[in-house]
Amino acid sequence: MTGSKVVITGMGVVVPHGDDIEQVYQRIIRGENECRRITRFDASTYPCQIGSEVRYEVEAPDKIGPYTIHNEALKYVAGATDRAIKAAAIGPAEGAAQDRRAIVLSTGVGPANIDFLGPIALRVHGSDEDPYKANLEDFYGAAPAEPEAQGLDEFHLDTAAPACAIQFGAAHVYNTASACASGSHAIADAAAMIHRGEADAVLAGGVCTPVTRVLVPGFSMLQALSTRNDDPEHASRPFDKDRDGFVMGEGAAVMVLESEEHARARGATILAELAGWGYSCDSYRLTDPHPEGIGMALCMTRALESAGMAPEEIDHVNAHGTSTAYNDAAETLAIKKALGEHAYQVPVSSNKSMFGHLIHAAGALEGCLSVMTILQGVVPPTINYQTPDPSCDLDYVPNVAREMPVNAVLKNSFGFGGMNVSVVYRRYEA
Amino acid sequence: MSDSSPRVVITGVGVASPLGVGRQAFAEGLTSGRNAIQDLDGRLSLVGPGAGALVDVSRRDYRNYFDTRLLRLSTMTRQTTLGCIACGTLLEDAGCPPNGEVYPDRGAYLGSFIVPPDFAKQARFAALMSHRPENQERGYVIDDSRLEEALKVASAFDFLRALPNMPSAHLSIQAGYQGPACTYLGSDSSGLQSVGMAVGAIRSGLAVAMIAGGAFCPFQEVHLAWQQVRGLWAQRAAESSPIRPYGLGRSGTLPGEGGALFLLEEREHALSRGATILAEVTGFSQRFAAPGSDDEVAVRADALSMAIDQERPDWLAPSGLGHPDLDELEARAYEDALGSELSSAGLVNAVPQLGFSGPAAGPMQLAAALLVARGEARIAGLDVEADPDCASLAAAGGRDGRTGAGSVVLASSFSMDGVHAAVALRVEA
Repeated sequence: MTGSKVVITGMGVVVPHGDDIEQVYQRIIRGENECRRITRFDASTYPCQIGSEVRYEVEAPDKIGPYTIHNEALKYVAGATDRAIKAAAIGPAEGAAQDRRAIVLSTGVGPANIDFLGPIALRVHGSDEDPYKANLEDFYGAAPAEPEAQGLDEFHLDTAAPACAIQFGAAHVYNTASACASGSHAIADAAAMIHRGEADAVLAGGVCTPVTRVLVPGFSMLQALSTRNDDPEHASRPFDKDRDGFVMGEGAAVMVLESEEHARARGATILAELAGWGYSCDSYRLTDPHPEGIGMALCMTRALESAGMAPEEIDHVNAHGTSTAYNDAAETLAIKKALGEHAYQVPVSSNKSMFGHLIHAAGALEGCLSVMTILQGVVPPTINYQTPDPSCDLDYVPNVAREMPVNAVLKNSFGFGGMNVSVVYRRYEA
Repeated sequence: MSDSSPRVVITGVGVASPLGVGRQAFAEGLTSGRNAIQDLDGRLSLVGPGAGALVDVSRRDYRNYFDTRLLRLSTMTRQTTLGCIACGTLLEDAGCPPNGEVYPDRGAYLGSFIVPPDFAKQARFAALMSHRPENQERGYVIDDSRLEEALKVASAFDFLRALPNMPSAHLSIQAGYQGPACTYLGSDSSGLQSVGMAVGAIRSGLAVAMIAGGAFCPFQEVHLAWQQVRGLWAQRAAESSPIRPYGLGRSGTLPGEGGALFLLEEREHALSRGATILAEVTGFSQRFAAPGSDDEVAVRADALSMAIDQERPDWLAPSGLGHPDLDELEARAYEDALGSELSSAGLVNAVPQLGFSGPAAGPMQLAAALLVARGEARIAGLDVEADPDCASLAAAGGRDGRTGAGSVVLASSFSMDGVHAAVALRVEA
């Protein structure tokens, strides 16, 4: 790559393990699990009854510019943004300086919530005889009186990224959707913008609140979720032979990316370098990864090439590692294709074993943890790893974290539709 | 954009529009002056404006545009389908139809918008999960124990196809493209945003060719009703010309569906495969300002100025919705950005003919302007009595700009949501 070096100067999270990235990381390397029975609603009759929820009060502003922070997704991402900005010690830009700042956020799944579809449905289904008896316009006129309907604008409008743009003082706003790869996609897009010289500082990441009455049964119907309902803490078990699907997780994670020159000029503390990124699409099937991991390997190879690094320079792979049968086997195969013999030497772990799958925020949270791994030199474990699977034959850092020097982490994110993104995080050297 | 970066050109246009499907049919539809706005029927007539423009392609003809065995209709929303139809015409137009091969260095970006499909089914699902307690006039109670019953009206595909990345995932599979893929969301400007991001991807070496544009279907009850409450739709849908951009007495726009896509390529790649180069993308810009903020005009003007840079536009393709406030903001922004250059440019506004297709509207306008600037289509002037506050753009509506090689197009999407994008093209011979 020939453009500006891209560095990370701040991170902010609101996730099941907490709202302080240092504390979250400490809990992660201790192998603490936040996958439990769902409390958001009575899931006792649901096919999957397990979720990884934010079970604490989140501090976030009530209103940002014209946007009311009225639902959990907005609260999480506004809170995470606030923390990232403070951590980076970078105030909101004003005036012309906003033109050099951008927001790239992945926010795609939060709105699909039956809780605010319910009031509409009751009006639309005025009676069995005349299901469209009620008038939707009347409903919208009355919506402010319905506390459950406060999320209706979110049903249509994505106000999370614009709200974050006001917090950060950014003149550019983008929303990425590449399914479970979206969080990493947002970070890679942000890095690319800086690298091309289009921005000096970009706040990027994702937010997702998929533990809902619609999405939990929906993903169950896609046979993607674990049904280990009587043993929720062992439900997310990436790369284990007895894995049976993932666990939905919720939260938000963002990071402040800057050009090296911009960060140094303002005296920022540089946490790590975002050294390379790669995108690919399997162009195969909508729900299954390519069985030979072709697209996954392609994006890992591209990320390494863009970082100008050899496979042997990767010290740790932070895997997508969903705990589904197809993904984990295909990812294992792809890591071997991309890294060659080094695949058998490098520790590969899945953070999802401890907080499930944050879908649109997954890559962003796991990216933040990758940076922490470089800073602290402790590779997180893959917990619940009990029975080896012949199709998953790498070193998955089973159950116990590992102290070791880590200079570079390859972070994988793969999504439905075969959309893949890999990002290389590297120790910063001036 | 630095001079050392690869130049990015357009080598194909794909359109699924209410005026016709494919580049030639779209051009003929524009030239004919035909108005595709029609009364809506069924449940769509019960909400919103009661009129709109639909793409007329029968289900059995889908196979003319994409492989329905490879891309199953059960996995598609209407906007995904429109994207795939547009993509089929695009790949033919660009001289690279799907051939079973995969292309690791080509990708697909699409602007779209989250409108969950099949609201009737969703509402039924929600209704089956909810009830109003006896002796209570308002409110509802969700009963989770009724999930099993509610799930009988749903299938796994309902959830899969509603995932927001599905439109671009389908395009990648359809074309066999293994490069970057993403659906850009969040605003009505995301179609032009995807064009800008695709240009960036090519210029930074991530791909040699990208499909980019937008696809959208607004015909979902809740979406129509919501936009009605926001004041987007025209109040006099029954009139023969309800959409009156920049005119006195304008009251809003009407919904239209469609998809408009471009094949963007690195110039050298296009030349090496013998492709016909239609235009070069010379500029892109994007700006955000929260709705209601003091700098709404300035931010829009900045987006235009940055995209057009030092060039003099021959054709303007603004949003042109016919909305009382948005048109005025748009006209003021064009005046601020272009000054006297505005007096020589012509206006392309297909919105009165084919309605407003949200994130697909920017690419649709860009496609129309490209065809007009190339001399492949003509577009009727605006049939309105000009609003003095929008006089500059209204006047452009009665004027022809320069056509042919070297002519410059400036297209913009100014959204109600505060995200604005602009793209500039220079026509090639």
